[in-house]
Amino acid sequence: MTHGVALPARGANLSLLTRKIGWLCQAIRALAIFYALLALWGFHHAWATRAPYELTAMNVFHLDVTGATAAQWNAVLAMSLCLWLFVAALSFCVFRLFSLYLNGEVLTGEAALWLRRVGIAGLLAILADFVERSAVVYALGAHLPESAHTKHIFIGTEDVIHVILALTLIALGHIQKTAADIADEHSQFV
Amino acid sequence: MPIVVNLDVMLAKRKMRSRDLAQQISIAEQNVSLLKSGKVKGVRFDTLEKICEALGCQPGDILEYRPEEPPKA
Repeated sequence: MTHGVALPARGANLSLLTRKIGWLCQAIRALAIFYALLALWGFHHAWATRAPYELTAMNVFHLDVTGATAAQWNAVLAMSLCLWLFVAALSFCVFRLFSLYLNGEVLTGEAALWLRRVGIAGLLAILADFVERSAVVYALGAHLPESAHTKHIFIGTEDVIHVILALTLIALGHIQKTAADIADEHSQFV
Repeated sequence: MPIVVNLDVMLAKRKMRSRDLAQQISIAEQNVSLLKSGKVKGVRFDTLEKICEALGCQPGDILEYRPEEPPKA
């Protein structure tokens, strides 16, 4: 790396790219915020109405949790809010990444770093969701006899694809870091 | 570095300032300064072409190869 980094020429390619994906970046940022708010509302709604949790417990685990106490339901809400923190972190990372893209910082180390963070946050959210769903069913069925508690763990096919997507983003983050280093090297050609 | 940039010499000969050259060839003045001091990794052909056109010179007037002296035993 030479002293006094040459000013990168904001090439026509980069300007064109920024114009092309501008609306996409805005839409994704809006969706990230919307998703975080929707998840929060969804958790509260499910806790307030109870029906979604009761249905899942009955349909998947054959557990009748309609007799759960208020304390058990409050524990469910607490778990859901903990999960929501992971969702919020993921939404923040997505928002931050696409803010950088909107600012024209596409092939930069910082953009690569936030892309990797999106992948990691996504992976953590998936794992947290996996733990939370089982913990919720366990909490709601705590008042039931031991014989009723057979299994609380379930993995859907969509979980696998979510993990694949999260890992893909982490890999792309590393790839983009290398691309940013190459772009930085090229910018030192005047 | 074996490749020496003599841009400052040519600018002096043509009585042109770095800023004016930068404007003529449409690159940032900072890049012209970096080029003068040899602190860039390379020069594109089109930049070299514009410099030669602006200064009325040959690439060899701007770039010189000076091999590094071998370390004395």
